[in-house]
Amino acid sequence: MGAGIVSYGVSFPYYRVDPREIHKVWLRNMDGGTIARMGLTGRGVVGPDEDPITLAVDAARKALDMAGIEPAKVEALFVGSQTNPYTTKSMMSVIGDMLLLGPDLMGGDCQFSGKSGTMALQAVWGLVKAGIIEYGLVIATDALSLHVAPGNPLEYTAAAGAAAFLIGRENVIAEIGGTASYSSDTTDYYRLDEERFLYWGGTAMSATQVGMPNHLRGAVKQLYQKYNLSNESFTYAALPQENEGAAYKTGQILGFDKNKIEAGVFSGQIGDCGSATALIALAKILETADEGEKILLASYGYGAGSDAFSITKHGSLQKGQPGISVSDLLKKHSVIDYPTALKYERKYSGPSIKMSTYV
Amino acid sequence: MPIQKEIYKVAVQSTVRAWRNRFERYALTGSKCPKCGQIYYPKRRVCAECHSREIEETILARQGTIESLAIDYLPVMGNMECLPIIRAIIKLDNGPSVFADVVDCSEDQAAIGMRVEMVIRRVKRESNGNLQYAHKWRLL
Repeated sequence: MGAGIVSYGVSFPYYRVDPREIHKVWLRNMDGGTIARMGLTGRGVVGPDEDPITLAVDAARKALDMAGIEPAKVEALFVGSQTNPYTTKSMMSVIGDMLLLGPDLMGGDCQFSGKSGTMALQAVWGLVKAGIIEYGLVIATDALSLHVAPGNPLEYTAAAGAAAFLIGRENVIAEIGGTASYSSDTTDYYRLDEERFLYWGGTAMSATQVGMPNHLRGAVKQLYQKYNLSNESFTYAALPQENEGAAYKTGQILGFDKNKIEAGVFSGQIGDCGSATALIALAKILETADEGEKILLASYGYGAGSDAFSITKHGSLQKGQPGISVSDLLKKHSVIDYPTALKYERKYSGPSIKMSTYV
Repeated sequence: MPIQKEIYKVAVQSTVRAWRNRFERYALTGSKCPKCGQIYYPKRRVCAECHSREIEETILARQGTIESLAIDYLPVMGNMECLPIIRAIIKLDNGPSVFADVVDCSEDQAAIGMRVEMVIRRVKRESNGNLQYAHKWRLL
């Protein structure tokens, strides 16, 4: 048995806001009907005490509990994120200490926008497959909503989430068969070091085919050529998705029918979880896939690049693991209004002087 | 993030002290006396029961039951976004009690006797500006 996924965990923020409330304030680009066509019922809001590190630890804790191994056996931790709270300092060291993975830990942070998580997966899978380590942990975590300016149409979909995968060679539930990538310097969205909010590269970059369609097709074509595969080899596809409508549109770009995408669609309830999106879709598919069925995992990162993986399901998830399915986890939420969402996401500038004893 | 430039510097914890006890906040590491079996949180060097100095490090359970509860409407400065805050004393499954916040629920949902599990949340900035994380608890 080759190297592959031993266990996984997914984490979402608890609060949600209705995109129609945001629309009432900004009236940007779309009428209420467009929001309904996007299939967006709620958008995740980061809590006042949450950030990508807290979401990552929650997901990783679930993955370690599902595998039932001692944390000290994990020898590498690669964290993929485009919204690291620190620009200089790794999240991996903080998360490694929180999970008691031990000081002898390889790894660090990976950043390639939305494909940070799959980039981390490539690194850890390589280390495990080569026999350099026995177990490695991949975490993809993002809190995009903290870095999208109020009034930007992306605010309707930018949310937060995390997914963690434990990679090993024993008791594998899904084997990773191969991987390929495609990247070029194409600036569709970016954020500079001193800036807080995501910037847009212009319509020529983000509304034409040069971004996601070109790179996604490129990576998948590389994968098919390298491993002699085709669309028909796969029963499921885990793809990037900002909302439900986008999930099916992305499938069409690659030539996949609705029935191959359906099992991995979840973003209609929460929005775009950044680099964690494709991996959360994979986790959702693993819960329904049968033995021997192949899953295509593909991700897209602004800037621009795409990774593609071929994954084969082995064995069945026993009853009771994971503790809670992705669909059930999405149901555990509380809806708040837009002003509270802005307060929680630190978008109101607070008082810069001490106003009284208590404030 | 917009930093409130001076406010976080009032009533903050020293970075060095926070670094030394970080595992107590991150993973609930406490002390256990091998002689009389008493478990302590936070860590100690001498057992309070039998005065043995051979006390060892142990990792406490990440689940517990709410023993006592209070709703905080007027916290010490900072934390104004989280109002109201549910403060609780939580009895861990293997021994001592911890004093922490209960999150991801409204004040009428939390009650004494409910089961909770540990999560990590951001709590404050330390004296040099570093982000500090600690345990909070979420209803099971």
